[in-house]
Amino acid sequence: MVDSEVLSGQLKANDIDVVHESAKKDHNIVVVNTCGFIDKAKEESINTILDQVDLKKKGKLDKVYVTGCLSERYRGDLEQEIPEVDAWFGTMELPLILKKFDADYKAELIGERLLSTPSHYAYLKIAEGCNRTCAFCAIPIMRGTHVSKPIEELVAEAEKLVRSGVKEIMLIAQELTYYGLDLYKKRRLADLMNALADVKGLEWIRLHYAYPTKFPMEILEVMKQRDNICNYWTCLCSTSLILC
Amino acid sequence: MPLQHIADPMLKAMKRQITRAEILDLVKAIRAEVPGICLRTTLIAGFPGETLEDVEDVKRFLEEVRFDRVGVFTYSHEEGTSAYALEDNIPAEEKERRAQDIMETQQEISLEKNQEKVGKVFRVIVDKKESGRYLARTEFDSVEVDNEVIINTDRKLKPGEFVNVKITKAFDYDLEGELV
Repeated sequence: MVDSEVLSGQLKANDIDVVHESAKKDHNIVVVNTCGFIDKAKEESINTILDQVDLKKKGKLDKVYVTGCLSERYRGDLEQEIPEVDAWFGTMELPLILKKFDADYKAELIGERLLSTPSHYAYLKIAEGCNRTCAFCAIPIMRGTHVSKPIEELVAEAEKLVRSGVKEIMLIAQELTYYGLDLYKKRRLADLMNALADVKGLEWIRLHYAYPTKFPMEILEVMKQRDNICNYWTCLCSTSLILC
Repeated sequence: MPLQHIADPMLKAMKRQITRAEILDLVKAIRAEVPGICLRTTLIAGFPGETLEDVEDVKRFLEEVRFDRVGVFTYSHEEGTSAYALEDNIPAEEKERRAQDIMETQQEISLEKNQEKVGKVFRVIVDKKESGRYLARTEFDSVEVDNEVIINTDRKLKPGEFVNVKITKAFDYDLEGELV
């Protein structure tokens, strides 16, 4: 979801009209952002691609592009099975998608997103990938190893979100508690929470997805001290689309 | 907190690097540190080799620990993962049955936990208006997956507005309340 918001933000900055899941059928190009996590999510992603291909066959669409985890994982097979799709992209190919639109990737737009959620809440992705080796999980195949975003960058992104009216942010990553180990050589989720809690106007900060092994207990202290950090821990792999 | 399983043989097979006893200690420590914290977890039903005793163990754990919310997913056999080398030996319908079984155990707990909120006042964020009522959430409820607080009022509320609500009714997965 956040990936779609970043892509849309970049397209918009290049003066391209873009909407999330528009009910109107008057667009020229559709980009399907897919999930490849478990069987149900894969099925949903493939059905969505087929629906769009159908629209293209009926002449209601010019082009269908597919990106995200499913195409990262199965691109070879998919290209053969659904040749009507005009282009396939992996999870780390945002600049290539933009090129297809004759648009430039603008690095200065860090944190600039076209939100798909109502304006009062937003997801904030603090890291990508996972270093765990759980036997059942395909995420590392699609998203690679854990890469944390720097604290300053996340604070800047949160400030931008608040300026646009956001009051509640949900911190997400494939694995929150690992935050910082790659970038700072130590777990720094507690520092990040403190820095975000200092952002004026941010009323609620919510934490999703925390792996239990080597749980960093110091984050509980921050949770208790700071009023705007919700006393809430979750993993909501339910709509796995949120995970991707 | 995605625990995925509780039974030790399963935790080991899943390579979770944690034991049932350690999970229990962790939950206790978290609750001691932050009383009233809302804990949500997800579990997988039907991992290769899972026995009925493993499922019973999960249910006993849920009764004991009483999480606020639980989601259960059926195991999906994914190529490229280390579990792919195991035999996906539990039929799809049986995976569904086990998931349902665990969810029913939790449903009662969720309802009881919600009933404990009746009469209490919570600060909520208003999400939207639907069929003449407002839908909001407490600090303990995230978007889309958790409880919604239904507010009946003639007052005009805006999405993103914070208001105080006294809970008047509790359901399995939702609450109803009035403005105070």
